[in-house]
Amino acid sequence: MSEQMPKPLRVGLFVVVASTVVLGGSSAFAHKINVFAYAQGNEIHGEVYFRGRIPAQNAKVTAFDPEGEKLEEVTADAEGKFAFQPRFRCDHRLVVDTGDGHAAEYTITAAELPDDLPPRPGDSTKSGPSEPKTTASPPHHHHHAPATLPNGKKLQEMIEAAVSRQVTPLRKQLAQYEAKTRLRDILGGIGYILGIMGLVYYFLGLRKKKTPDANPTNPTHQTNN
Amino acid sequence: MHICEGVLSNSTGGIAVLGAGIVLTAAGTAIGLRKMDYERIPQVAVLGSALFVASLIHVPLGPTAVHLVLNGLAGLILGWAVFPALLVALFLQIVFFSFGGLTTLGLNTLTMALPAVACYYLFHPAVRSKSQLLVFSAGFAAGATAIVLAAVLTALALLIAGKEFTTISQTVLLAHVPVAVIEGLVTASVVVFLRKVRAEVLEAPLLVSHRVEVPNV
Repeated sequence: MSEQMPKPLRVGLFVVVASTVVLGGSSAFAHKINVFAYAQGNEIHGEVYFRGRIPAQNAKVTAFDPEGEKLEEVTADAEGKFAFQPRFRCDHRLVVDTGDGHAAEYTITAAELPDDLPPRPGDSTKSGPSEPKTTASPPHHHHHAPATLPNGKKLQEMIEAAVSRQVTPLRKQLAQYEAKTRLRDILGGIGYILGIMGLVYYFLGLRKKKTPDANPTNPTHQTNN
Repeated sequence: MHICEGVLSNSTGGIAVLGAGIVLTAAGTAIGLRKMDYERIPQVAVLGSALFVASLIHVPLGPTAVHLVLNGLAGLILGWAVFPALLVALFLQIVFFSFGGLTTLGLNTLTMALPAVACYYLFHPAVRSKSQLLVFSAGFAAGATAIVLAAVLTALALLIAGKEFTTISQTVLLAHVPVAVIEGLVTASVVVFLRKVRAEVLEAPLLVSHRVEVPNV
């Protein structure tokens, strides 16, 4: 009896390993749709992809403002990329729904968007365009910058563009890293399943011990349990 | 195949569907646990792992990405015990990767496990036949049918939840046609292989009655 138990285990293990090997070679670990976006110049650029960098073609991306009102709707291209010009300087919540129960979202904060966009009508909390430029930055630049450098606004735009160029790949990488299905997690999951199996065995073993004891010397053993 | 958290919980119809999913999955799991005897626990666990891993591996296909489900194979081997196996696998997918969601766990388990059980009853006799062609065909049919039925159930759940899901349901159905073919091929090859190497695995759901009849040696 106990001799037979490892057999199904071994065969089942084969199934796991085989399916992992067969499919793991040709593909990335993936599931769950992801969306990533960043502001560049006066546009919002973004990508939609499944786990493992598989682009979600023609995915529909909808941008909502913080109140949940629809601002924009774009469709991703064949590479899963999309871009649009924001009309207002407010938080943009980008929601992707592929229509088959997979959904994801990503929020671009107002601070990432260019200063010269008008704030969302009715959003009186921040006066987007004027605040950062007129207060600290321009005088600061005038102090230190020689006359040959572009003026404050231009310089700030250049810096923003440069920083965005440098930082965007990093942020992309970070988003991808978070989205990746890691082998560790998979092994962890399998470990949990084996652990549950152990628990089931434990409790069944307890039950077996309590009831008849199923010993060969006892002729009056009850069959039900 | 997973229905995401929050997709259905907005409408009363959706909540009803989610509730029905939970109740029916609980019932299925109870039956599965009752039918699962001591010797088959490792099998259930290992196929649970296979289910857990299979749907993590995505292959790009056209505008979307597809993955194996392996519910047909699990159904053939486990019978009703596919319910607890899938429940655990899906639960761990939520915990580790936030696929699906806790509220949809019942419904997602049901839409995948019920077709698996159906395939067990439909194709199990053929899989045990002597003709290799029949075994292969039955395996293919089981793999493909389990996927199609699961997609139909998912679409049905979305439909019952509300009219606005009509197009979504069509998307779900269409997207699973290629998956069904691939799944059929994979299931068929695994079943043929198992028949050759470890035929007793496919007899497993009947082990109980065999054991009762044949006294221990």
